Amino acid sequence: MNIKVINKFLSIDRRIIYVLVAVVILIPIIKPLNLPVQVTKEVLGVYNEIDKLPPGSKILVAFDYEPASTPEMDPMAKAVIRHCFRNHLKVIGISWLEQGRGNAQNVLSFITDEFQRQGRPLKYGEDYAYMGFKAGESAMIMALVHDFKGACIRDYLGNDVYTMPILKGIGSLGDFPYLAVLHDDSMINSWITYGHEIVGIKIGALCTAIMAPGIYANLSAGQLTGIVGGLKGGSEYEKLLGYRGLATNGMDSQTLVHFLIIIFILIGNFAYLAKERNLRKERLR
Amino acid sequence: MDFFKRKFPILVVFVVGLLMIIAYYVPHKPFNQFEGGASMWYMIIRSFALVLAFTSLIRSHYLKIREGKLGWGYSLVMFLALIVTTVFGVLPYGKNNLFGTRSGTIYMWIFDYVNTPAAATVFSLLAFYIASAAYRAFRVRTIDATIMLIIAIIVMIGRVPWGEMFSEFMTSKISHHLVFIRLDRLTSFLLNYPTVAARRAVYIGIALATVSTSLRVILGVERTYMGSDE
Amino acid sequence: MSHYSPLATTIGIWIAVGLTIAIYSFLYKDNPFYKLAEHLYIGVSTGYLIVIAWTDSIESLLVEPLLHPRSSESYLIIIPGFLGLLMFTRYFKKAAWLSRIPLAFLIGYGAGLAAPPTIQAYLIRHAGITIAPIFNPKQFALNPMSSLFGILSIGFFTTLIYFVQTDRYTDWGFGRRLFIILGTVLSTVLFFIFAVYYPHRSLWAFIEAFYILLLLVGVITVLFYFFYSIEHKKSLKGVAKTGIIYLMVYFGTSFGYTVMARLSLAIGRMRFIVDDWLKKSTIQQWIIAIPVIIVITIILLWQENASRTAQKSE
Repeated sequence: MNIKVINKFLSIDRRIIYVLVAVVILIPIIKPLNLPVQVTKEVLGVYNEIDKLPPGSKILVAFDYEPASTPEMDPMAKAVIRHCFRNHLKVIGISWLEQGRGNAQNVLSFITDEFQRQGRPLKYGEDYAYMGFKAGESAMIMALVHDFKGACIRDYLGNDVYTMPILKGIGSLGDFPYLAVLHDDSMINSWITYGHEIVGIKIGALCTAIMAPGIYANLSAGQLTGIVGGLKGGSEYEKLLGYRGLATNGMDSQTLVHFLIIIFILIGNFAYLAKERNLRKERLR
Repeated sequence: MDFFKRKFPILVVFVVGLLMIIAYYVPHKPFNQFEGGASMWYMIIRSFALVLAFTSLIRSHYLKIREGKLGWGYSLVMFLALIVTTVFGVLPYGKNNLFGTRSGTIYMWIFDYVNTPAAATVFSLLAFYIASAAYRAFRVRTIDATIMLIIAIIVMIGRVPWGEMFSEFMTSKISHHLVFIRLDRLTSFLLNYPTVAARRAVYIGIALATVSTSLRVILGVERTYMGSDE
Repeated sequence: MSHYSPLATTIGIWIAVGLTIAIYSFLYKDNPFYKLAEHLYIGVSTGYLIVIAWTDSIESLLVEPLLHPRSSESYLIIIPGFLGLLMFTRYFKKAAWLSRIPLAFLIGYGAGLAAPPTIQAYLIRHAGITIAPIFNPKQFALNPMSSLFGILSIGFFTTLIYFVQTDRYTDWGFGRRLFIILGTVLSTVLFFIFAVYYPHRSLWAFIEAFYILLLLVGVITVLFYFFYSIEHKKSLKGVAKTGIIYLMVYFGTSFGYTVMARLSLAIGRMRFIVDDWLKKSTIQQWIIAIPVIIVITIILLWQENASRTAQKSE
């Protein structure tokens, strides 16, 4: 191959690459491919644990993701809350990330409005509650371990948690049968270290795809029951619940762009190897 | 006075740190009460530390506006956005449903339509940069880079519907014996074994480093938190 | 987002789309629209965090218990409140040393809290789960033949490592080298057969045993790679190299998942632009929006031009 052609290939304007990526993302949004999704055992680990909780059980959900991760995390957050309410579980939310509070409010109000429209209104303080943001990270978890209500005092609306019906019988973090952590950073490690290891609470990790590979070690050590990772994990959870949501539809674009990036990598490397071969030939001459 | 300026903080670190370690191994009175109480104190002091972080940011932009430095207009926009958001959030929730932090207020409207879209878009820029870097910078110069590239390609194909469909096609239509090189199963194997092994080693290393750093801090060997006077 | 009026929602969507396109314009090059969007975002997010820090932390954990105490012990909260206020003394040169006291409490608490649970959760737990399956009789059966070949395999392997490391391997002839290498391989295979395959008579048990050893080898070699007290040469270089291969597999899976994560965000934004804005916008909205966009553009370009002129004159 001519070295001038190779150099032209290697120095293609990056803006052309950006446009190609944008176009490939847009194609399935305009014309959906409706690709099927396969469920993995990691997602089943979270789904089955929530599914086997008896109706009326209280589940703690930690909304610890930033608005930046909303497109990836919101679909799985909505799926898990939907699952909890469908199974008549009582959801108690908490955040140790300040920005998680807004996401928690949006997800909870979205799902409760949905159930309201379906003729099953959910009452705040009895069917669900949100404690708001509590500063302190690991200290917050330790405070929850010792005295859940004492660590919260007020919920995000300013209500006294001691008089809330949903928190009746909850003295410590260990009184919850399950904790679902929606996170986009390493706070899962603190929940495991101070939650699971001290009081033995079962934890399911629902995280961004960046975090997922790193916490497989925790899964294999039995510190997590399952992992719902990224948009793929969200799409699997949606399939288990029986609907095609934003996560499942997003997998169409994800598929195409993955293949585009693989093509970019292969073309870039073929051109690079061809250039190296040509240079070696030049040197030998 | 020198004792309170230099020695007293180190003593506080030692006493609090030691009591916290004892409380973990002796979960009875009075240590468990200390642990619970200290956790509440930490949460409260930490809240003030958050506010301190914001004041530093505000101060730097305020100086930029006051001195009329280049781009002071943008700092003014930042200030106005900050003041508007804070005022609408801090005011009590009343009958007009506009103030406060509940759903449907101006504060949450700003979060939903300014904060969230801007944050998500800033981080999504990386998607385009990754694509550009994959084409221009990801080169198989060494064997290690080649291994990383092959694994990345397997994972990127194995975790999307087309990869799963192709794997299903391989075993059902071509040969059942190809089950061991199905891309989705290969991805699962890579995530559950080699990745776990590397990550476990990293965790063990982190645990050792955390313990050694904690002991150094508690025993007063590490004093960088004291600032430049020490 | 259904809690807002239709007008508020419409204005909100247009602002969100404007910010999205302004930030994406950075992909072309840095420009005033991007700077405006960036500073607006910083201001809004900082304001948001200040409010949350006040309402959910300081007000609910400090102010409320003082105003409505549950018991006389609630007044003790005033001490951490006072310590928190001391943190602001760092802005006053003469009193800055006072800020070390609350900081010392935070540091001491964090250090003391971190150490023991981290040992349990990450050192003991993960080291244990790596080693324990090896001593599990259901995985590796203990019988005379498996014990014999297990000891032989460890013996051959350590002999090989020792003689390679001490350079005595190079003095050996072909026969001796073949004996040691064949001995290592055969004894390991026979150990597997007598410890795993023979007791269980199942290929799956064999594969599981292989996976356990794969994990053990991976953990040890990666830990060794980060161990710098011994020089990584000769056979130890091979151990470190194996660790690097495991790390490369880890980085490869991380890269694949990172691509997935970032693309998810871009997909979300594109879907918002198409589904929530383009498909739902009306001509009336465009008629109002276009003049607003033109005015903002003129102001930004004028401000940028004025800044450049001021910079040139300096």
